[in-house]
Amino acid sequence: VAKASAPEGTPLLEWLVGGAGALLFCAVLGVLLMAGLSGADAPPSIEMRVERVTQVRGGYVVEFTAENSGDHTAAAVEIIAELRGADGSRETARAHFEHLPPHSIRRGGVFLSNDPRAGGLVLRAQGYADP
Amino acid sequence: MQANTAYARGLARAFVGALLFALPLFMTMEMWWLGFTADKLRLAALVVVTLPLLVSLSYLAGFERAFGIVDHLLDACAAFLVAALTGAVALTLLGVITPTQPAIEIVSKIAVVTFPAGIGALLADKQLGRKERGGAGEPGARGYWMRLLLMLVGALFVALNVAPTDEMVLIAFQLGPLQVALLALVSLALLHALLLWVDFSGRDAPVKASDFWSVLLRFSLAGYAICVLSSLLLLWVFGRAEDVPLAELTEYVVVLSFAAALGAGLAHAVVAEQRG
Repeated sequence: VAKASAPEGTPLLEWLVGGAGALLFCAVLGVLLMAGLSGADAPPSIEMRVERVTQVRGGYVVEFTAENSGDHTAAAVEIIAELRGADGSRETARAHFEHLPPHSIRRGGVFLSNDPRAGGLVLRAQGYADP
Repeated sequence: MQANTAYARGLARAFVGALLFALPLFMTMEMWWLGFTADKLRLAALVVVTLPLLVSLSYLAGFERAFGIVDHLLDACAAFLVAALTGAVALTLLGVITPTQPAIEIVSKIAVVTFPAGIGALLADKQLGRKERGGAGEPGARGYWMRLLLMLVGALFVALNVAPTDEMVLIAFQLGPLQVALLALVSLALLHALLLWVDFSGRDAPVKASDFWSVLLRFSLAGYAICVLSSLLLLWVFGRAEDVPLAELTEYVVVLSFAAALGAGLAHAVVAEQRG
């Protein structure tokens, strides 16, 4: 490039913004490379936790969190809630997550017609697809 | 001081450009998913490619008063900063990024959009700020390789906007082999027509018959090859090239190259227009 004469030189602000951009570029690259090279390879592991049970019209809603502590994303995750009553009755409800990213928590809920607060509720992830 | 004020105004324009150019991606569901489904090393590769392309675009279009390589590098870094900040703010506003997400997921989502947003940032300042600064900066020389580089930027930009979507794969499924072949021919014809009539002629002399073959061989065919390579790169980055039979991969590439051809054909016209 032919050096044109710069009447005022490069403004200070340009140095600051450019420098901040260079730092950010390195930071983004560093985070991605660290994550990519960490070699973490654990399969999805999904832990379910009941957060709250609320009585609603026609039954109960169980709000829960699903935490994927694995290193891979689980897609199309099927959640099944099984409620066994003391009288041997059995009720199931399902929920579906499009994605559970690694080391993340997602929220959801299932509807049941019997009160799960009496106990006997089992929540678990049934399966997933590799995205 | 005055130069600083002018630069700040340029930055404001850059934010608008970044928002405009990356908006389709901000509002694409599959793009959000890339944040956690895409391979991190491949996203890093995309980010690495972004900076030299921004530097060359700054050289070719002239962002701010760019004199020499340091200024172009500063401009590219500034565009990256603007792109990443725009991505962070817009994706947060749209509820795509939330504080509960792991950091790597957030960084990945932003990384995907830095390339198109960065291009928007560079072009907007040049486009909107030209009058104010009276045509600041010397536009870079336009040799043969620079033209090809510009086609690469245009091809990657347009293809990136559609590459993450499921429709891209769906279109490939819908097409038979003959339709795919037709699409490839139409893409090449489109690219050739854009280069021949929008780009090389128009303002200058009418198109001569000899131009047709010269442009076809030197630019259109080379440009289509660039589209194919850009498409392959994006398919690889987004993990769509794995475990796919060659025939199907070819279909993906042709579909994506259709979009890329449009970008490659118009890139020079868009940037050249700004030189006035």
